Amino acid sequence: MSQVKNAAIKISGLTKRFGKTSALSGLDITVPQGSVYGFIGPNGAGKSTTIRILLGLLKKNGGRAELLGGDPWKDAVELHKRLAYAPSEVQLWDGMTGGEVIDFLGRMRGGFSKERRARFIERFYLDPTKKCKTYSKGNRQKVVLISAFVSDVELLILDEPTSGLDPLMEGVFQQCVREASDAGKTVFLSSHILSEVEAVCDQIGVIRAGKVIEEGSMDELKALIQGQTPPTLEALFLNYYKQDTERGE
Amino acid sequence: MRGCFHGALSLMKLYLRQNRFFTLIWLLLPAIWTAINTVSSLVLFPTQEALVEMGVSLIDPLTEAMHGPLLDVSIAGFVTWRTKVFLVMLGGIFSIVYMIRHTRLAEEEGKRGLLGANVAGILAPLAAALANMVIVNALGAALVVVAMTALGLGMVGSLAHCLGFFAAASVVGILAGLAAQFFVSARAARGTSFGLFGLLFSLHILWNVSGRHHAFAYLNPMDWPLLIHPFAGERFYLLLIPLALGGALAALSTWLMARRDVGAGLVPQRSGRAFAGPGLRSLSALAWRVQKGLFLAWFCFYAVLSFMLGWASYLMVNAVSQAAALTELIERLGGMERAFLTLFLYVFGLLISVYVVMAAGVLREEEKNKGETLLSMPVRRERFVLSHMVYIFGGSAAIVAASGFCAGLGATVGTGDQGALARLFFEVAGLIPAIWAVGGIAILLFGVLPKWMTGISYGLLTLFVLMEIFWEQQQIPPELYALSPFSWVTPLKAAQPPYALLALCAAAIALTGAGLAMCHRRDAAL
Repeated sequence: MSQVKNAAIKISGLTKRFGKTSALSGLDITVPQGSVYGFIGPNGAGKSTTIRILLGLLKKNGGRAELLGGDPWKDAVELHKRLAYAPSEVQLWDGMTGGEVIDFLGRMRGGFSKERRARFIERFYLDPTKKCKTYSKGNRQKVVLISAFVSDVELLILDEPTSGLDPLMEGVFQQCVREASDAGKTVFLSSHILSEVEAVCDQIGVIRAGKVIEEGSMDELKALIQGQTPPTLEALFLNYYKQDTERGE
Repeated sequence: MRGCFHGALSLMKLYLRQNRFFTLIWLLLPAIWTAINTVSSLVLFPTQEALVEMGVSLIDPLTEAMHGPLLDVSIAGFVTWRTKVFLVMLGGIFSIVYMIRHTRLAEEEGKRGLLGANVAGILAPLAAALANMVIVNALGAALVVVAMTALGLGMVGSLAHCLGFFAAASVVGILAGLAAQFFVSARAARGTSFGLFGLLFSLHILWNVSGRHHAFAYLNPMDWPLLIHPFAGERFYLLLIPLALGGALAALSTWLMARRDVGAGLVPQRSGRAFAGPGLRSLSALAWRVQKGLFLAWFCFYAVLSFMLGWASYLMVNAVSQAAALTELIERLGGMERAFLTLFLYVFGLLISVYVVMAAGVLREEEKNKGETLLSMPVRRERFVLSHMVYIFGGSAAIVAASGFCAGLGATVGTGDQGALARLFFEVAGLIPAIWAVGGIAILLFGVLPKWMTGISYGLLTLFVLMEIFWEQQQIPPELYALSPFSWVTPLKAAQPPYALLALCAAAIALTGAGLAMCHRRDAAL
């Protein structure tokens, strides 16, 4: 509990309902400052809902959520100056080019330099003169990733940011996450691509059906994994599934 | 060439299985609409004398501009005359949406590529969409024939009526299939198709108003159901025109389709700017980017058409029949010429509330599709909504004002009446509060029921229009009609209370305020 003081994100007992369905039922996570936190779980587990509450897009029904020392709902505008977010399902403005979107988002967020912009566009190999409606899903993701990495912020929240990227770009992405971490930024990475999480994260939270079922450092999780056959994150994951279905039956 | 159509039959079956609800409405609505009209006409005009007396008095200049001359004074003649424009609009709109969905939209979403790589020949999707569209239109028309003959209207006339609107709807659908070949985006293809359809409709109205016979009318699908003369000496041979025109257009679109790449258009895509202009740095600038197309299109359309209306107003008066039932109203509105223009501008102006709902729809789309990206920026939600309210309220007011000014200018130029400019400007500008009230409703819905906003808004607009019609026919009491914002600005009422406009403005402000407050409190609806 010594980390609590300098936690970038601190959530306890968080609940969220949509009508009768319960999306989050008592979620607890702690993201230490400066860490690369992997938030993993299957589709529909509540990853995006958690993130949307952290961004002040959704209102929580119960529990506590603290982001960079503030309230994600009440202090949304102030907090958003200190974070950058890349959504998973990226929709952009059809009539605008990728370059225009990057400039616009950068200016809205502030702390944006031309040199960094040029560097990231080159690294992600993006043609900024194309209209957004002609971009593929991967290219749209590149646009929001570039705009997130370009910005000079304390916290990056990335929601399944690589689901449309090819393996080469996946490598570039991992490199960018490492650099952000080296620069002292906190990275909150939601993903269901386990290899990616294994490669870049030092903290892990496993979410399933609106609850965190495992949380700890990558090393602690590795110890857990060693107990699996075969010793992979996938196997651990599949075991949770199995336990759940057995319980269900 | 044979291989090009491979798999078309399977695709036709596949398309019919998709969007079954959409197809069902498209299929049944014409027959239901015609049946309702027939039954109500039978009830309304029990005898031939009643028909001659009342039916003819129902014909006002607006109706005549919309529907053209009544060819045969009988229940059958009246029903075909009253329903044909609606049937063509309905069939045309459904055909356009259907064609774009299965051609350009499917390509944009990559479905076409998936099909093309596996089972279907290059022309199969277009051919299947065209065939289905024609089949659904034909079945819908057949149902109308059944309904009309079952209700005792003549077989031959009913057949002519239905073939007329079937041909019109099908050719409009084929036009959409052609437009889909030109543009890379489904939105551009759909916009062009609807634009063309609107142009054909405007020409139809213009020709009706001028009262003369135009040779080009034979090429306008909107005019076919009239030209075929149902129940008035049917001219079936005219169907050769749609047959030839439809065949030629369909052949042209398949020819173009075969000559381009999947996903590409005939209008080339230009590459844009790599850097944003210096102005693009605020929510207002972004709102201008996403709203300007809609706003400028409506603004120019209204400015030009209002000018033409005002300028041609004296022409219309000569073409309008002198219906006895209207004399009292006409006198109250200041003579035939003024009455006509006032009524026309009233209906024309109220249609700007459709723009209001569309502009609010853009706001909703922005939240739904880009809300995550946009609202995770350091921006207030209210600021985001406000940036679009500029168009919902300011934009609509500008369009109304332009319409009034241009109609007045046109009337001044056309008739030499110096007072027309100020009179018509203030007359039309008086509609602004009612249109704002519609905007207030839209913003309230945005705050309370965002996912239902567009649907409910259009539903309410339709309801307000129906209330207007029913009130005119004295089928609903004025107290009920008062719930419609339009009732407070209608020129059909002898007098409006002096506080009417203020009350509407207050309602608009209250609704908007409530909507903003709710929007601040609710979950982002993504």
